[in-house]
Amino acid sequence: MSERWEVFGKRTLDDPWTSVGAVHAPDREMALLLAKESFFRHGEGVDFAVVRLDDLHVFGRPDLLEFATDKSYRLQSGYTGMGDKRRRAIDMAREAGAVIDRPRPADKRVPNPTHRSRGGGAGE
Amino acid sequence: MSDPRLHLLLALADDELIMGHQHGHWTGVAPHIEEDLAFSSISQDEIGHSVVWYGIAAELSGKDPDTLALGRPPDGYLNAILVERPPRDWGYTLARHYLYDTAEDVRLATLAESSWTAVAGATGAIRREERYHLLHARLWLDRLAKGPVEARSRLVDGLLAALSEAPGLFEALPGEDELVAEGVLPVTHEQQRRRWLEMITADLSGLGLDHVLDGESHHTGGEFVPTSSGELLTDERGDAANGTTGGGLGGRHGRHSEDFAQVWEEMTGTYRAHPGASW
Repeated sequence: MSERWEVFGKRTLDDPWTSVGAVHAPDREMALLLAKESFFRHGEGVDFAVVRLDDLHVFGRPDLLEFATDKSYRLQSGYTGMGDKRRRAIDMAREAGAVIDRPRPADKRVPNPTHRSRGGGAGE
Repeated sequence: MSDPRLHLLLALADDELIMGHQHGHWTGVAPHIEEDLAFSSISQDEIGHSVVWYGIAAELSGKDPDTLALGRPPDGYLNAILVERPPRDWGYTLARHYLYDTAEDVRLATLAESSWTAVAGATGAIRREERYHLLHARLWLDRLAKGPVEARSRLVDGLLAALSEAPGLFEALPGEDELVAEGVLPVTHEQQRRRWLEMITADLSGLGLDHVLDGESHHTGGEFVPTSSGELLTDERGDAANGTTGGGLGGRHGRHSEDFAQVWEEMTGTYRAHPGASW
């Protein structure tokens, strides 16, 4: 009787749609009406949308999402300790007589002032 | 209660507090979890609106808002009888929710023009929340009116019962003439009731339900009503019992129905058991 509707929200108008959960409702209007109090009653965002679960085009091939070969270079965990690696490389270069005579390039990333700081990162 | 201004505020506040209290009985037992949250939120909103009105009443009277809200004897409450009725079933609950929030819409639109700036100013925030209440009430009204048969008949029963007491929401206040003369109340409650009646007549006619305004259930055997699944089912229910109590009047004078004693016991019990306790 009641269909399942996926609910997507935006924290700010510039944010992409992010899944926040689902409601059961017989139609679109009722789904929108009920999603408001189910997911946005504590000031969680500035807008939201509902999509009928059947309208999500599901890929459905988990086998194609598995790694057949080593893909650790694609993962963040493959890039831990970069500061140490960099310092070791500088030391090795210095021992070999190489001199780094150019300053480190400036950080050209522009922080978006409308985004909340997520702690650390840009600016440090 | 000699001050008509205080009387006006307490009538507004008591309606909101007790409507919120009665709506709150659905928390945990509403038809489904999403509606449980939505209706509980509306219940909390109404109680929040009462806080606004009790706050102004507290400034006016020099009394503590909690004392005003919970520390009066039963005949000191000025709410309309409609709001003190138990929730009965979902059909009655939604019918009353619809009638109450449309009445509140008219009432707030009136008070937005009040010469009393504290009151006119308070309507802004309340009306923003009321927009959702109206959306919620009208959407449910529409869905239940369109069937299936049991939903529509329970809605009709609920509308008949609630309509018979809804005039109490617009009962004239003692000292109303003075309030109108001063522009505190820009139009009388009787004029507000007529505006409200126009509003609900338009909604109910659109759903083929305006017969309830004449107190007719139209639960005649053999009537076909479309259901949400598209089937036509025969409505075999008989006429609904329609417990009228003289337009639900009396509340603005502190006269209440037999249901009020229990509401008062439940609502003020904790406050009376622990006088002066800090929350």
